[in-house]
Amino acid sequence: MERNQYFSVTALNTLIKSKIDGDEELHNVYVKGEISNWKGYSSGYFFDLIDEKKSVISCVVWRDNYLYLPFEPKDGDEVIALGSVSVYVGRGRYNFAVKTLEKFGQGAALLALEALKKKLQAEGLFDVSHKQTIPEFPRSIGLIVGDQSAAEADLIKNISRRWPLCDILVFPSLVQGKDAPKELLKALRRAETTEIDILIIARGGGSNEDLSAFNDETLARELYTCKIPCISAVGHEIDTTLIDYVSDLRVSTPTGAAEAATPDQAEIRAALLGAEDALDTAIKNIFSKKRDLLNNLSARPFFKNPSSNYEKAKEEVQQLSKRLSISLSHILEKNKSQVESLSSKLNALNPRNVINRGYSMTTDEKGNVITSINQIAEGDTLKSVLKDGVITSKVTSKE
Amino acid sequence: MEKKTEKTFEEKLTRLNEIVEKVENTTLSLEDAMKLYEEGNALIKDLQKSLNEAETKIQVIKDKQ
Repeated sequence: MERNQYFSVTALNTLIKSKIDGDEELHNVYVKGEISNWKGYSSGYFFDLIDEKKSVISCVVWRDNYLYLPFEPKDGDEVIALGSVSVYVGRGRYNFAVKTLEKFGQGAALLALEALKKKLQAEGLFDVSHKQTIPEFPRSIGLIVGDQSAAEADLIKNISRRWPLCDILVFPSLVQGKDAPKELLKALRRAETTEIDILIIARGGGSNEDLSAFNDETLARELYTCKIPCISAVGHEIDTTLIDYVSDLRVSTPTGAAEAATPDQAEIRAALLGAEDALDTAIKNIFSKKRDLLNNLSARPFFKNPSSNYEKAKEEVQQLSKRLSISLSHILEKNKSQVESLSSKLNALNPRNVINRGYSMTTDEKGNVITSINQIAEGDTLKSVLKDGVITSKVTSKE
Repeated sequence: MEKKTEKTFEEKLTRLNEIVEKVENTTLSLEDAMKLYEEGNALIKDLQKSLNEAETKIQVIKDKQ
């Protein structure tokens, strides 16, 4: 860089800030030191961390993070601080922005816990695929809680208010202190021998030390193999114990656990009323649809004038019968004239008609017509049939 | 706990939802619709009764000494 090319102070500070901000090694690191010059302001707390060699780093805990510190820090405390290095451009200073502080010694426990957590995670104890579904309508819920604790009272109140159809089995246990892990494990094993649909493990907030029983490895492994769907509600939102990672569902408060474990009877009652309305409406619709269908059908011509279909057929029958009678009379007429012509032909051949025209017919006494002289002898009696009578005569001669 | 033979609240509620769905969304004969309507209403009454009569039983199970 030439002399006539220069940074402004701000530009240089900004460059330094961007270098430090971009360096992962300076973020989320643990620093061990002793607190001195602890001072509180409305925005947060400022202090120095000093080591054995008297090296100093300025530190800040912003108010939001301060609220969740596990203890009240004071000058002289040996601590392990978790935080990130940040630069203040305006003042050209850097400091260590602390997220959380542990008293030294507890810091070691924290690291051990961190290592255990990594191990269990690698073994799959926290796997989402292993999580069991929390039943929607439990018939019995087990509670692992401190005997007569606020968490117990809260759970019982909320479960019975929301879903009184469900029984509650309480498995009281110590929830802090050195015997707590063993007690919790016993309570869990007792719970596993009963027929509960959901298990809730709950404890109110406390320091990390107080919650350490819920970081017990044996307890975590037992819970992992537990066949009962389990909800954990240990400590506050920010405290996540191993039990919370292993449980099937993690919530932040006992009330939250009651809500996650049970349906709300108010909602179910509303749903029942809704179903009642829906059924009423649906059945009315079905009725009115059927009525419409009936009305439509009865409006059809067939139902308006049921004979209409027959009228046509009737007409056709009439037409046919008319045609039939006409053709019948034609046939009769034809036959009649044929009969007449035959009868007149026949009539012409009737001997009576010949006689009527002036001829006579001669028969013997028996009525046999005489057509040859060989049929008679002298002295025979003959009958002559004339137009108007019969002459009887005697044969005197023949030639 | 409910008796094994009797349907659970959840089963009854599921059946009720089935009925509402059927009556609302399928073409049914009047007879079938009426049958389902009556069954549905009976279930509603039954479920409401269960809720009204329900009382949480609390049992404390301590370690056997």
